[in-house]
Amino acid sequence: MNANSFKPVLRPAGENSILVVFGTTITPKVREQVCGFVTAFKALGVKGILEIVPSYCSVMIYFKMRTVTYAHIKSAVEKALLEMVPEPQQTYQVLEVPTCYDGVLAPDMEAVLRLTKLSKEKLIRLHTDKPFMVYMIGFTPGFPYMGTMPFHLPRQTTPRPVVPSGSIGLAGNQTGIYSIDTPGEWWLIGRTPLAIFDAQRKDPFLLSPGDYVRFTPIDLEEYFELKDYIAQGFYTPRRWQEKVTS
Amino acid sequence: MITVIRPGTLTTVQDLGRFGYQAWGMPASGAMDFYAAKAANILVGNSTKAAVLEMTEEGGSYRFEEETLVAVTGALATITVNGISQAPWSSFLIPPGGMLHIGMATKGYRMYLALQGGVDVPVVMGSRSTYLTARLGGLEGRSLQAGDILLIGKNSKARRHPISAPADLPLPLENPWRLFVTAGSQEDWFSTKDKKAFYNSVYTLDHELPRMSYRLRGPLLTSTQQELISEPTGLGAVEVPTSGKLFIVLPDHGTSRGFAKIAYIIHAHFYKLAQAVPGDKITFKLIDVDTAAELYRTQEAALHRLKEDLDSNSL
Repeated sequence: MNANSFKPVLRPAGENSILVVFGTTITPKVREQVCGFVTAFKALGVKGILEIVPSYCSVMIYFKMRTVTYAHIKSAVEKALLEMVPEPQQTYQVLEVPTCYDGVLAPDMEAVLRLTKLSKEKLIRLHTDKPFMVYMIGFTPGFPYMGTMPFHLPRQTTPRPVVPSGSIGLAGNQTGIYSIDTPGEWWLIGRTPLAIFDAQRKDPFLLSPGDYVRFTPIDLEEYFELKDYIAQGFYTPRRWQEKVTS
Repeated sequence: MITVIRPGTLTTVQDLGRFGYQAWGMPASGAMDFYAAKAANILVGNSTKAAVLEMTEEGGSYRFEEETLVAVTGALATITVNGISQAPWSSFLIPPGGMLHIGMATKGYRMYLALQGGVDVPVVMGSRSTYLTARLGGLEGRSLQAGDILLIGKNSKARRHPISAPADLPLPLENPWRLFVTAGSQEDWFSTKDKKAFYNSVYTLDHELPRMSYRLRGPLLTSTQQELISEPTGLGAVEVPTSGKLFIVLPDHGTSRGFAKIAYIIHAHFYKLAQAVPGDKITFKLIDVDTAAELYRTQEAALHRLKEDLDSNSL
């Protein structure tokens, strides 16, 4: 372990899981630890693991109570904490997410511009001129939590009963993509024709934690054209690798 | 093949869940009362992982094309085949063209119908479980409707004779429900007063009991006003948002949440949540993780013994 102000802690989480917490803030440093720990734990090849679930600042290890004990998994976790090295990302995968920021597809645009006192051009520029890191996937299958925007929005007081999948939302200083039709309370500033989650697809999720997303602006016409292409299977999402510049 | 004549209140296809995708926000889903679902499968000679029908509150009516060995476990309800009464927690044969009727739950809340060969719906991401929120798994990702047709899987090796489960196989159905819990991930965030209130009060279940989470009525726990960054949250977590209200995390719940958790309900008592009815009373008792795991292993051992007994008798 390298020097760090926050010492990892084990927290209880039921009799079949252990939660390992690496910090209380969402930063790349904490993420490096989360990734480093997952690698070190997997390298131990512990038997009886049901699932390893990383999040922003923590990792949950679910295990099979029938075959392994809490104490056994706990000591494996402690071993992994000693052996782990933080994993700074060398390169990262970027996914292009074509996004229409217009009209009916951006029902909260006006409200967000009022709250942030930004012009529409400036807001779209802030959303499109750099890739955002996917810190966590959750809420619904495939929904990426990405950051960070240079402002902080309040929560919407009443959730919308149905937010269409593909909607691009803002909440706090984060941005996200609705992966299925669901009730939701993020501020909606656009929509992508991409299906970032599709259970029937060979690879159901277009994004994983640690990936980056690059939003690119498209107009309404392009949105509907692209939606048709995607429906007919004529579109392959654009992905590329980028090197981390320090 | 079976035809759904009347589906009951909320009937879905479930197995033991969809694992491996929680890091992508995919909840495990699966049978709420996994003990009853496993028992039903064992009674008809299936693997415990076979898909069953989970019936909420009311079972419904089903017409069977071929002779089929079935079992109904979980909540108690009137069960008839062509009008002739059948026992719960046992397997029985339905003749070709036979009509199975399962009435309202008279004790408990969820019935499990296992069919020899299992419910044959497509496997989606490793499981046949229905996840209603994302409309995936099960039959077209939804609950059953009148007129639906379900296929039955093949299990030619299995025995055909009906059997009854030992009298002590069904777990006790009670109200008030005494739920054993282990410490939650933020247990130390709560004041002593809040913890006392939690462990010494009687909470009441809401009038709606969806598969995502249960809302509890009772004393509010308001001592944690800290913000929590979303973290992985498992089955049975008792979440306390800053409003102080209590919620219990269930199989269709989001996999990472930003709420302080005071406790986790143990797996061996999860069946109680599945079988409690709206308005039932619950209380909490703290135990350690080793005792909790031991209670789970005891239940698993009882199921395993039943399976061994049946396997050796059919040889």
